[in-house]
Amino acid sequence: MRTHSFSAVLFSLLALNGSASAHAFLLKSEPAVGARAAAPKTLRLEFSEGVELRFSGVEVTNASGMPISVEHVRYSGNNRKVVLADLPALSPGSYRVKWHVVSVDTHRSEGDFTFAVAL
Amino acid sequence: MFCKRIRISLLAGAAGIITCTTTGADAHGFAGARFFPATIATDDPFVADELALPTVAWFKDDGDIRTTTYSADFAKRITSNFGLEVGGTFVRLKPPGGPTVDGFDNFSLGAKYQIDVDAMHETIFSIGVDADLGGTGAGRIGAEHFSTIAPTFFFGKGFGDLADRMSMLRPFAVTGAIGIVVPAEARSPDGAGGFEEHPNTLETGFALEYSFPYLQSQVRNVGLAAPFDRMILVAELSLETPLDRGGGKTTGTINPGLLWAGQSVQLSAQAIIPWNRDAGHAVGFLVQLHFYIDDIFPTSLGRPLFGG
Repeated sequence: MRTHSFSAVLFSLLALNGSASAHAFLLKSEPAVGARAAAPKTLRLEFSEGVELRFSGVEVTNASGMPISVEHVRYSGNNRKVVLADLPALSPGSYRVKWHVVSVDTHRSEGDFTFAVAL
Repeated sequence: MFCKRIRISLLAGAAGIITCTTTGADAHGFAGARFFPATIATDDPFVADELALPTVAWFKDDGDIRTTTYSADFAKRITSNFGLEVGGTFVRLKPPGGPTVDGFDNFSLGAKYQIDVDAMHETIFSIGVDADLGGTGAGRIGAEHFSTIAPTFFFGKGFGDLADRMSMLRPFAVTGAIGIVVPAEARSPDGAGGFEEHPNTLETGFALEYSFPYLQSQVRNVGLAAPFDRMILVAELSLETPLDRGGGKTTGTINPGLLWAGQSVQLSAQAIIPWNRDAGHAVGFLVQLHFYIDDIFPTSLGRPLFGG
């Protein structure tokens, strides 16, 4: 069918243009989403696409909703898909991470998750 | 997209045929952290730039006519909240013991406007209108000679705001569409000296989704690896209820299946289970290849024409 041929062409274009960008999904984080772990010193967010730090942000709050200082938000080396941020010494309890990013092709995405610091 | 209405039509005034019509483009989109994929049987509430090519469906009606449909649909944003859609379906019918009949069903046009998107509560509301253009398809496969128009209300809701004790239910979301299909003709000659009535019809469609990407990124990383980390379980329900003119019983299908949503392409596979005997008695199947044009061509074809 002609439609199948057109799809094949579009698929081929996608394959050739391996850098086709899109919305940035959170693939992985450290601490992991929903995890209970030892107090982390660094927050690590890994996205499916490169992101623009200038238009992106991350906030951390404790169980009472009080903001936790997040400093030195940066890429992991030259990898624009991975964002690092330094955290202060966290006491045991639950924390919420809220992030928003703009991918390199200007698509905006956001999300939030919790993790817990064990005693 | 895009088998938007799996409808019952009448072929030569005799056997009921389920046809998978394309009356526009289902859309993918975001409401806050929630990604809503493009569903197949139920038009979902987003306006987007996308292409479903092809959607292929195989099923049997209650007259044991084996039906295969090949659909293509394209949706284009005019502004960030308003978009137009166009679709077409090629239908192949094989009656038991008879020759195969094929041809295009009526082509469709649609328009949709996003009224509101609430990121915090992962909700969206839209209104739209779809038109099946009578006489643009082949009468031999049951394409009507008259047009229909269907004003429709759309909604979507993610359950990300559920309480912590129900956190594992947060990946659930539901979308729906409720519309009235109004035929341009109330009745027409049936070719046997009588008349065939064309009722107004209530169309309802719902899609219940459970998103593994949402589970992994918002609730708990349970360690799913590719390809499961991009999968969304979906169950769609698509019903048609004639409202007048002796239109008969509610008919429709239940479509359970699986979606895989990549960065710019979505693959879908669903079963087609008749809602009741009037909708057939055999299980069919749907597959779809869907392109997110706004992600593939973010600076050109994938942008709204105005205000992007």
